[in-house]
Amino acid sequence: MRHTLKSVYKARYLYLFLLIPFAFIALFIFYPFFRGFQISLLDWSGGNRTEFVGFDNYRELFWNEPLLGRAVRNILILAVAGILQAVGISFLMAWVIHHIRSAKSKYVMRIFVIVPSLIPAIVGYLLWKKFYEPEGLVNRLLGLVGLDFLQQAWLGDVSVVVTAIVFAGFPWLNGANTLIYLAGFLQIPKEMYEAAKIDGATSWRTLWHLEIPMLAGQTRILLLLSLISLLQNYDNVFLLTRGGPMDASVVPGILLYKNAFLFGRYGYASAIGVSLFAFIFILSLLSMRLSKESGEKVS
Amino acid sequence: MLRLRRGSVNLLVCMALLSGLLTGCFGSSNETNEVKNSASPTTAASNESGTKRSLSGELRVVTFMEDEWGDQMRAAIADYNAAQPEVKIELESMPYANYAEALKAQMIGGISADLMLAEPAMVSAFEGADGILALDDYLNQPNPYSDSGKAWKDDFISPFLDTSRNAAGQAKLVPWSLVWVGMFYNKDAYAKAGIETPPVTWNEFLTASEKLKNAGYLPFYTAIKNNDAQTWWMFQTMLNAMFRVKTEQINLRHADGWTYKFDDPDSTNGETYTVDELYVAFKKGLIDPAKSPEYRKAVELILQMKPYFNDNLLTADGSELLSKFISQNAVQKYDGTFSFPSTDSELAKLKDEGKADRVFQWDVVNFPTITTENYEGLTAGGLNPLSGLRNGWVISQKSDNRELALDFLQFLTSPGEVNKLYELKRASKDNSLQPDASAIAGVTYPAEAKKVDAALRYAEMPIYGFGLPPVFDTGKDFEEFHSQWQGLWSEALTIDEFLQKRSASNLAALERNLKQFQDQVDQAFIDSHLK
Repeated sequence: MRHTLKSVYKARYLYLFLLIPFAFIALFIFYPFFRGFQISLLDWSGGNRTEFVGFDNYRELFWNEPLLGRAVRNILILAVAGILQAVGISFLMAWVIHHIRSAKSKYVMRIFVIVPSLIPAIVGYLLWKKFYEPEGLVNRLLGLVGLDFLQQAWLGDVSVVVTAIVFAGFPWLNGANTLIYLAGFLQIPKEMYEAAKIDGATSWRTLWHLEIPMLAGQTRILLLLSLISLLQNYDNVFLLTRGGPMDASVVPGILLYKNAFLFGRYGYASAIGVSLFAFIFILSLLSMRLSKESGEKVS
Repeated sequence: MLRLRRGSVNLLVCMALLSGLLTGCFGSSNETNEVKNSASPTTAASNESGTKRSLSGELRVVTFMEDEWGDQMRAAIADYNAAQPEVKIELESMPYANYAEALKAQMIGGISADLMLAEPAMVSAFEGADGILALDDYLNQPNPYSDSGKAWKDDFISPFLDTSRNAAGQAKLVPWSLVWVGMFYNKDAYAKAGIETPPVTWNEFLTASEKLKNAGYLPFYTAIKNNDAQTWWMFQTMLNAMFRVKTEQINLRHADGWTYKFDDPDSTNGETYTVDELYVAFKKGLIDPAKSPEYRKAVELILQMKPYFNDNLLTADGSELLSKFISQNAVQKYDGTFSFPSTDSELAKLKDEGKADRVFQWDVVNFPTITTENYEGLTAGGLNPLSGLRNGWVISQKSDNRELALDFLQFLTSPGEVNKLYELKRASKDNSLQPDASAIAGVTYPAEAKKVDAALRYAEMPIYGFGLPPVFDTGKDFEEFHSQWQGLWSEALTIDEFLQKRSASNLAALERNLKQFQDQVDQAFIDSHLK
């Protein structure tokens, strides 16, 4: 104990400087979480009257919320698709750029990939809302290529609305992720490529046995960050459909928003938020464990 | 690493449980607001007694109607400052989109403005946040800025103050302007389709729509979404007409000697449905969608419109209505007096752009009424013109400047000042247009203003809010209605399924209202009628 206190005293200025960021973290991250949990145990409509109801809000959420199953199913679909887009497409783009021989073309491609990231996502979703209109770009393109039978009310049909949300944002270029992978590719020693060439490895085998394992660290990080972000995401659904038609595209974030800001049920909305946090936390732990195990297998 | 993770999880769980335990010990509360002004409402009201006092301080006022009332509000503030030079008024404008949510969040945070413009539908959301002041005590006193000598409440056109009362019968919204909603129609398209006069009855309306369709026009463009009110206006006015015969059965607590006379619109003045009366009526099956034959009939009638609507009901958007009407993609629309200026200005723009061949004549009439041909139980008259209170003023419950806010509001709603503001409106806008009428009695409008037939023909006590679908709150019931309405129109729900779901949603909303207004609910009354 004395030794600990001595070492703390020795590094006192370090701890003093760390106090400020920790205070911010405590105020803006930990406090809202605990306050949210506290409110989730109350029946509160925003006014002066609050009533402690224990876990009634959670009970209502898990036993009586008719939209919970659909919301979880939808968010898992969107998350899986989003991960494939955010991680898979980025990896592919980085691989293509890395293997371009011309330095100038490499540079141009990097700019080409970054520019879409500069456009706010909201602008993209609003454009896609227009594209999906019955006489919008999507249906017109389908008509042009002779696929009239596929034309439909993309955001108005309960059977295709989630698919439409998945495809919004095509070609799903993620500039930041691509650059992270590109940096990873640049770190692969040239000698390993040469050794693979000498051994007679094809491009496919080089990709599968050399490049993918060497980029496992980046993949793990991007996978985890994408998962956390996608599971709580609802801005695309909100802008495109607001959870409709007939709640077909509802996700947990929309449920939370509606219960808080439209229905005035802050306690119940907080219960949704806490449950969502727990869900994301568990999935993140699982994801980290699985990716760690597969990383150990590879090494 | 795994031990550390497990440790973190344990720590988080412990802290959460501790937080929950503390919430359990201290979580419930039923705080009453401190009266921040020194006087209680009753004392303050009796202090008013129709006499002006010299006041000082700062007041924040917020509206969402900068285009329609911005200049007039600034003029009113200048006039008020002539009477109260020590008062500083800050006028803010917020966009309409998400106005109610933003104000409610401000109310919860205790940072809302003192005086706020609001629509009747927003009031229940603000009440959930205990955000607005009940004004009955003040309304019963004379307005010191009015020459009428009557109580403040009598300066308003009846029944608009009564229709704005909340489920507990309290007046929290001071009426400001009215709106009339009617059927706009393209006169040129009517002529080409061989329709000589606009339809007056529902059957004539269906016939006219069929003629328009045969002539190659789309009779109506609508979006089954919460930003297009056309279908729910049609639905609600039908329900109001059909439920009128049950008025005495629903309004069980009324003034002594009161009786309902359907053909005397003034016979319901001063009467209002309270939440416990509506709950009793619902439980008896009078207004329960699943049990009421009138409700089913209204659904069946309105679905008769489907062949005359656009195919993309679920993907269309309410923001397209004006453009569809102007471009003659649709030749009828159900809209309000607030769209007179935009309709005319869009047509004027076409003319300026050299597209005079696309300009057309338009007019507007009351929406065609159902008759006993459509429903033989319609024995208390057909549809009333859809006119009512468009907006009003609310005062923040947490305002430190209640006295100031009340004083300015009394000044603003004095007949003399309102007349001045409407004269300003006339001077700045096209003289041929009728702006929204005032809810204050005695306002004179220019002779050249567009006349609308807004007077109520039948006595009516609205069960649902004005301008809303048939719902009992603007939160969950409102959202569920839209989802169920989409299901009905897309045929994902049968009529029976729709009625069952509506019934469940309505009942849940009424029960939430009973809880929200528990202090005003008469449980003995409910028990005595439902045993």
